[in-house]
Amino acid sequence: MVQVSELSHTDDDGIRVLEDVHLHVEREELVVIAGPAVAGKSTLLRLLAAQIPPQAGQVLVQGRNIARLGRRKAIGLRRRIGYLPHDFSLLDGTVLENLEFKLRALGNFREQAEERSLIALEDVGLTAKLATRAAELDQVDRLRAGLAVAICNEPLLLLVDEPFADLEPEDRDAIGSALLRIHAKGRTIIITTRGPIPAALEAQRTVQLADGRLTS
Amino acid sequence: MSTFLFVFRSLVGSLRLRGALLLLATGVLMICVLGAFSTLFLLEAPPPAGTTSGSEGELIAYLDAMLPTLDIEHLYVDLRNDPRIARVSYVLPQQLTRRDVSGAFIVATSTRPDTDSVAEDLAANPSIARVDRTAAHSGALAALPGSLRTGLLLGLLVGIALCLAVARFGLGDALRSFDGQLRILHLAGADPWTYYAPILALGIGCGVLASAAFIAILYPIHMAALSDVESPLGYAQGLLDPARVQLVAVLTALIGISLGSLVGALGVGLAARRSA
Repeated sequence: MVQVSELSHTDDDGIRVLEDVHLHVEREELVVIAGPAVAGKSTLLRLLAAQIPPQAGQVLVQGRNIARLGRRKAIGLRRRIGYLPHDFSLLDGTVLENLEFKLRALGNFREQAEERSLIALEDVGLTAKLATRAAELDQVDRLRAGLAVAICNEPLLLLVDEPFADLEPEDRDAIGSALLRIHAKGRTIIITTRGPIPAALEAQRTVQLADGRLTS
Repeated sequence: MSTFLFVFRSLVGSLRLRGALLLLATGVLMICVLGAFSTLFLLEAPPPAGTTSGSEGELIAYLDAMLPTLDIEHLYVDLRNDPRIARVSYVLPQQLTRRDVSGAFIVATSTRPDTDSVAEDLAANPSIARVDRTAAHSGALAALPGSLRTGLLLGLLVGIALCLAVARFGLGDALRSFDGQLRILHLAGADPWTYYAPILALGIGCGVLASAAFIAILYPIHMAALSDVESPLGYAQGLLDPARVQLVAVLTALIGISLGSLVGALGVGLAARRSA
């Protein structure tokens, strides 16, 4: 599903964020990328999500080199990637409206959008709060809603940046379980974390990213 | 509802009061720009010193309210064949604010001395309810001196610049309140034109509404001028000419849409910078 080789990236300040990164993720695999803050995890996810172009090296998603895709094909690929950045914020309005906005804007009809939204909310365990306003959600439910927004258009690859940061251990487990449920539906998932890995995900493959280098 | 309409509705729905007021101000400035442009078009330049404003005289003959269409046509042909008359144009009753007539003829005589005899003949015709002499006849047309014309032209340019500056703030505010939606669309891999097109349409919509509002002001003024040529409005000769008013309406619509497109393009530029 994902093949990264010789990937290097330097940020706007000239700091080397990633150095010769190699990563192979199989279809329907769940991989946790762990590492300290400023290790380059978020940059790696943004590169995988085709949000920024690679400066050196190759990023292949579903066998396609994202640096060589034309505009239309790049858009097509990005639609198959669900990406939840760490600083994601929900829209004003209810949880359901958040999901429906994305789906309707991507061309789904209202009934289709509602149906897909309900499936995504069920996957993350937030069906009971679909009519709750986003501002009234607690931190864990906001994260669940963000995950639902990321998966509602049924992407094949889900990238989640720092979902466990600032969470209590039981909340981390709840989010870990939600991610496992999403994974069980056949999605490939890559998660980054700088803190402890929740018990629910301990059995999954973990790779370490430190100083821009990846180690198994 | 199409994706375009859905995103457009979300964009308009997310507008905050400040953004809405700034976009409204943009529309008002557009109306001012269109007003300056049409003033340049509808008011004549003053005649050279020592001359009057043209060699022709002009009359407006209001037709009797009960006059049948066939008689109007006959009267028109008679007037066209009169050697003292240079031009005749018919004004529909719908183009007049007065309801006691079935239209009017604007009659331009070949020479100024012919005007009195033509006016007398028309007044004696039982089909004609009333004959008025326009300001063109007395040479008392409202005119725009060269300096005022230059000033208006500069005002027009300043108005356009001001309109774009206010639109920039208005669109900036609109995009800030639409930032969350833009982020979702960007992360979802939506084609940028999913949100560029509604932003462009918002600008064009401003231009279309401003043009429509201006035309909605222009036509009643034109009708009022035609209905009472001796009123102050009758001194603006362009307002008495239906063809010229129609041309101004078309041109202002085109300018409004172009200005709106420019505002929309500015918004697209801001959105592109924001999503980058």
